[in-house]
Amino acid sequence: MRKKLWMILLLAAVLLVPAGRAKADAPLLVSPAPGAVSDKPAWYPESTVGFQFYNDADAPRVVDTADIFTDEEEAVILKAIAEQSARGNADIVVVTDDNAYGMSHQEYADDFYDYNGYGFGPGRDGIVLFICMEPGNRGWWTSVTGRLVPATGDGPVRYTEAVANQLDDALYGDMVAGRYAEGVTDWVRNVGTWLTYGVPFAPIWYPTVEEQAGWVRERNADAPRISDTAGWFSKSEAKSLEEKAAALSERYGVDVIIHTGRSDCGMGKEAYAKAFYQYGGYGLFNDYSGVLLVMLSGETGGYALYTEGDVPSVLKDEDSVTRLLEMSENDAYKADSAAAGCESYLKLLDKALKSNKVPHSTGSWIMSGVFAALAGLLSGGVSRGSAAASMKTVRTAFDSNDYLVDGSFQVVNSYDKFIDVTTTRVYSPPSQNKSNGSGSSGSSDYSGGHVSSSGTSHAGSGRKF
Amino acid sequence: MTNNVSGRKCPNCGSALHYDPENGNLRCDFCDSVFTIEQVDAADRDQAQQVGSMNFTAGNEALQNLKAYVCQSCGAEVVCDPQTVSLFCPYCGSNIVLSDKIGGELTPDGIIPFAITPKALPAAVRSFYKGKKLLPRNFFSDSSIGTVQGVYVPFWLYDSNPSGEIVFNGSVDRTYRDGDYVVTEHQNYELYRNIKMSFRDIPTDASERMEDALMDSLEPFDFKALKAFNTDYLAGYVADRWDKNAKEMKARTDRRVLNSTLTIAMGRATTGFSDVTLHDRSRLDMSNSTARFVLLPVYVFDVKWNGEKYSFAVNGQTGKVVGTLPEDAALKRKYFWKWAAIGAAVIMAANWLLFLQ
Repeated sequence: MRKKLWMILLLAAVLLVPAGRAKADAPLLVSPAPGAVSDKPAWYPESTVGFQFYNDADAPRVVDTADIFTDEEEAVILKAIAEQSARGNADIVVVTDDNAYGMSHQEYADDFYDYNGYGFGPGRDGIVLFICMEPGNRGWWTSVTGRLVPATGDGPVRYTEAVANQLDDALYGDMVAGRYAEGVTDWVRNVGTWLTYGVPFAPIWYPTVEEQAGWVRERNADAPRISDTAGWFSKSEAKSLEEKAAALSERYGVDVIIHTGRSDCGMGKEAYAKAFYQYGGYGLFNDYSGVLLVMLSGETGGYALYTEGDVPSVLKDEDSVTRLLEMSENDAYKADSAAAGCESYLKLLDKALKSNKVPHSTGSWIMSGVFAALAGLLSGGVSRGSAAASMKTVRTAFDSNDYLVDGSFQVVNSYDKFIDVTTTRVYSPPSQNKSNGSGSSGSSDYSGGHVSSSGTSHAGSGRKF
Repeated sequence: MTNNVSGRKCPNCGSALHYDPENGNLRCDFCDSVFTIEQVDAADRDQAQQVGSMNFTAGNEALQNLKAYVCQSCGAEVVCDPQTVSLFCPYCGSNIVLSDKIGGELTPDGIIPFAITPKALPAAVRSFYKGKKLLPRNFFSDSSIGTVQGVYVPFWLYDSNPSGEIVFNGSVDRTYRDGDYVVTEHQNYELYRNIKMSFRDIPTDASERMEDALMDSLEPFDFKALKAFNTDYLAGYVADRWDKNAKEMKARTDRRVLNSTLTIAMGRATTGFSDVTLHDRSRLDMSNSTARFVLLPVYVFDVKWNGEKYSFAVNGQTGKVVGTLPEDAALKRKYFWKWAAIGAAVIMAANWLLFLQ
């Protein structure tokens, strides 16, 4: 009788627990029985039907199933994750595996995040990096959830195509070189920067997401008009440039600023220049009139001219601006001095502000003249040849095309004999791939929004290596 | 002295008749009567009488071959070379057709009568001069046009039916992606094409006296206007018989046909292949061809200018003028620099408007 009672109680307990329900205090990260063959990873729930999500603060943030990190490296990554997730207020998880269990990298990353209690808050905000080391299927996928998904999230920090490409670009070199720990640690820091500033490589003057939310634009008359972050100018050069810029500002009522930097921080030169101008408090009068020249070094270096407010139209014309910057750059190279290039720029800017014209270089005029002369000689030669040909109408007939009987041409028999083949292979990795019809992030597969097997919205990107 | 002469006389007054290209009839220069060829045939049968060969100085073969004919209008004896079949009497200007030279294999299979009158020639020549920018300014004033002669030039009309095998080399390019590589395959083939085609009425000059290129340049003729030969069409014109036989001229025609055959076969029978070149044509048979002897109307004249003689010819059916005109060296230089300056100015202005403004 007692035995029967126990059986009834046990049956009732089993029936009361919802099917497939995962308990927060019962982590799913369990190993299969020794020798068992499974078509799903160990962490995968036995049943996903009716699965209830949960937040597990104690779940491991680095799950190195593929064993590509040493214990020391794992500790460094965990420390970085702890710092950056606290700074960015979103979960950061790294998982590696040498078997994708037939799932795509995207499915593996999405499901791992969804079924193991990751994410902050009710939206389970966070990001997971899955590194797949399966032979022949090596690659990674980054999956984001909650407020970070561009298609559904409404916050200022979203995993856009541009962000995905920047983070993946930075990770790619280390992955290919086998520097997994180094790459992942940098990736975690970059993710932290992105979560904090909204851009993965924010410059020092860039406001945080919170600051951006409360930002009110103001003019800052005290901001330096020559901002030499890259350190290209001597003190005297900077002073001279500042005086000339101020003189132009006073004469034409347009703020004139020159800024040097070490990189565009992955923002793109134009976006960088605009952010610097606006967050720096530049511009005169109510329409913030001004002209900012940004000069950047490094791999993503170059020049950008940002204008706002009431400035001559020539400074908004792409060709004219390109010419102005090229002429200034040429003068900088000639004098081997960035300051000389800026002096030249300010002179050209003076003419542009005065006459709404950007002059052309002497070289342009010479090239134009040479081109016109060559075209003229060609024109003269062709015209004379044509006139001379019209003087001679006596020509031997070389063919009889005009006497072909209509419809008489017949191919009675034909045969194509294959001789050989020459093959040329040119290395040209695809520049664009598409996934889920959501567009492309340059060289990454990218999804701006999709639903995983658990019904959760994710976005993500990945590459093979 | 020979008198196998066909000199058509007016049934009304006995004066000489000339073929009139404007209406295709025979006209009397004296009484202005106009007759159809059939009317004259009925009224005036060929009464030429041969009066025997003249015997010139023995030992001079060329002179021995010359024959003398009696003009039916004035009775004068006229001597001409063996190729001439129609000429003018130098004494009375009557036309003499030497019918003994156009019998047997020398009988033309057809003739295209003159459709352009000599009166229309000055306008045609003026039109030819028009627009010739390098023509010397004084060419009109200082040049003199020599005698315009209407000549029925002997031509062979070939029908050619080339057939057989031509082998071309060709290739097909295929580009595809293999991982991070773009692979381009260049497949080479030999293209065997057994073809046949037909060409009709290819004219080839059969007269030694006419420059081949000059006669080629007069093409095209409209061979739909080809008529059965009748000596009456020769009245008023000079005519030659052929002196280059059909076999002799076939090689020249075959070259034209071969060029066309290869071009046409390459263009129409090798679609889908690129870089097509000829590999072998040794099995192409060019022997299937026939030739007809025809007379085609041509006006020839010379223009003398600055001590030089420039030969011109006019297609007597279409009025097309061909010839080589003198070029003024100073005008040539001026023309070159004028267009060089215009070209440079246009490009410079475009540059300024589009890029340098």
